[in-house]
Amino acid sequence: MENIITVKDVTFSYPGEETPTLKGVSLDVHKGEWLSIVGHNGSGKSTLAKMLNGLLLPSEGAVNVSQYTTGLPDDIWEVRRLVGMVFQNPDNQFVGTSVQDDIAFGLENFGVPRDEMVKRINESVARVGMEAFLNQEPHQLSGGQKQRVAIAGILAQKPSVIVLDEATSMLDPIGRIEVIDTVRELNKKEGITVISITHDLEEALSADRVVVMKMGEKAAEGVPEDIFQQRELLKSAGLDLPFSLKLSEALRHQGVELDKSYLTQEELVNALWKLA
Amino acid sequence: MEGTPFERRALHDINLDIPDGTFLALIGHTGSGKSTLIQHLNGLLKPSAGSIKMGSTELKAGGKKQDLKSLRKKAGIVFQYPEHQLFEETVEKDIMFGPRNFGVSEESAKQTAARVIEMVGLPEGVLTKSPFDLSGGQMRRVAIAGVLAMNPEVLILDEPTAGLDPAGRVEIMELFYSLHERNNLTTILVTHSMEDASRYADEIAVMHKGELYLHGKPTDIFNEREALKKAGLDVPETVQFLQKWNEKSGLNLALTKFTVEELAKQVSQSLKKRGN
Repeated sequence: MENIITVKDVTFSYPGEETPTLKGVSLDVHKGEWLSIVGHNGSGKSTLAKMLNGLLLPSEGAVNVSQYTTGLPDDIWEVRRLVGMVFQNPDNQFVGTSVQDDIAFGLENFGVPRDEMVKRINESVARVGMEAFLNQEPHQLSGGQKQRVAIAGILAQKPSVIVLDEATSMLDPIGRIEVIDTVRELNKKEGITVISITHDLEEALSADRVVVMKMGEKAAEGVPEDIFQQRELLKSAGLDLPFSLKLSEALRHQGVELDKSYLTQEELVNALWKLA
Repeated sequence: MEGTPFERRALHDINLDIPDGTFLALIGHTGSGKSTLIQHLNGLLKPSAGSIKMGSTELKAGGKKQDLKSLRKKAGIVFQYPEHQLFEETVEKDIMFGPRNFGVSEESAKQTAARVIEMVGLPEGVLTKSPFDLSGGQMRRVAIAGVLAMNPEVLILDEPTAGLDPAGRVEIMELFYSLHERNNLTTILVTHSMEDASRYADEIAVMHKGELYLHGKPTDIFNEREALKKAGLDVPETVQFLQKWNEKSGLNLALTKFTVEELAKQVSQSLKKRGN
């Protein structure tokens, strides 16, 4: 499988900190996949996210995006165009006075000519379903809508990868679904690679692969079906079990003879029905 | 902003009685009016019409300001991301700030700081540290201690677990629940999480478009799944699962407690009955 990002033996310390925040982390991100990165507060997952588009540079090791390297000054702009970040707080990343100004801001930074800019703005707002809001001001938008505008701003730069850094954690359930559905469509239909840093285990369950970070190290990596069976690992990484797994376990505790733990409610109901 | 083009009625004709000692969950999506409502409860906002009564203190529309102080002393609010409000040089000074403002002597405020830091599960040694040298989770506990130092009778929590990892979320909610039980507090939890509401609340109030949309015991609220969906909400996962199981098995089971353990017990008993 083709890799879009490779993280190789990356160690990183914030200035003045004795213990490194990332310790020898290596990671391949496959082109077109949805990769969820989970871990406790302070596990280094957000720091890792900021490594991916060169907002932070490794103290040791290297991060490569396509044929570019984040540590090389000649490559950094191309890296940032290819890897777009959506951050946690919708209010902190809305810089324009209207939706179209906000998207134009990023394009201006890359020196895109005006005609091309107008075309790209119209295209990208349509792809996140915000075309009716082009002239709206930020305070007229919900949190989920602001995050979709942030995503449109990234799309306008024709990226290969979108990194969601806890981008739904400040949204209500409706906003969360709005944003995840938007990104999922981009992932499935357009093959954009998605890396999602999240505390939302149900979201991680639907990822192609999951990486578990713990104390600055990569503690595990694999498909959700395998990762979420590892109860002790999840607990020690400050995570909880997703609902259906927790219920599977509680049922076994009550003497119900389930053959395994199930990931979804539907699977579990069907398995129970067979026992009845 | 009365009389300006920005005037918008955020709350409309809310009538809500909260009995002493209740754990009330206030649920609704962004913009439903729940934050506006709690800002009335400790006098940060004054009603345009109507009144708020807490114990013997009453705040009326057009009323005078002197009652605000006693209202604020009765009701302590833990805001979202409370750690952002820490500002003093030491944890002890930060906690003492509130009581000192209300005229408590230095000596007595110090004793209070020692008492409340223990209540939030932090060692006394933390008192002499700078709040900014602590981890995010510890900072949040310090901020909560600062609210407890005012000896509130009513504790108002505005999404107190936002941004925490799953393990941290459980820890903080368990902390509030034990404070509620041990100190006979009245607790109002503003949340997006139906799971937290189902686990801890005696009563649930659902806000929708500035109105009190539903109010009752969790069992009653969760019978209104269609109404909840209209407000952009849903029943907790335990209830969702039981509904699926009821449909499959033709049974009519109901939960009184909304924990995974209770659900597992009900389902396993229904299996055993069928087995006989």
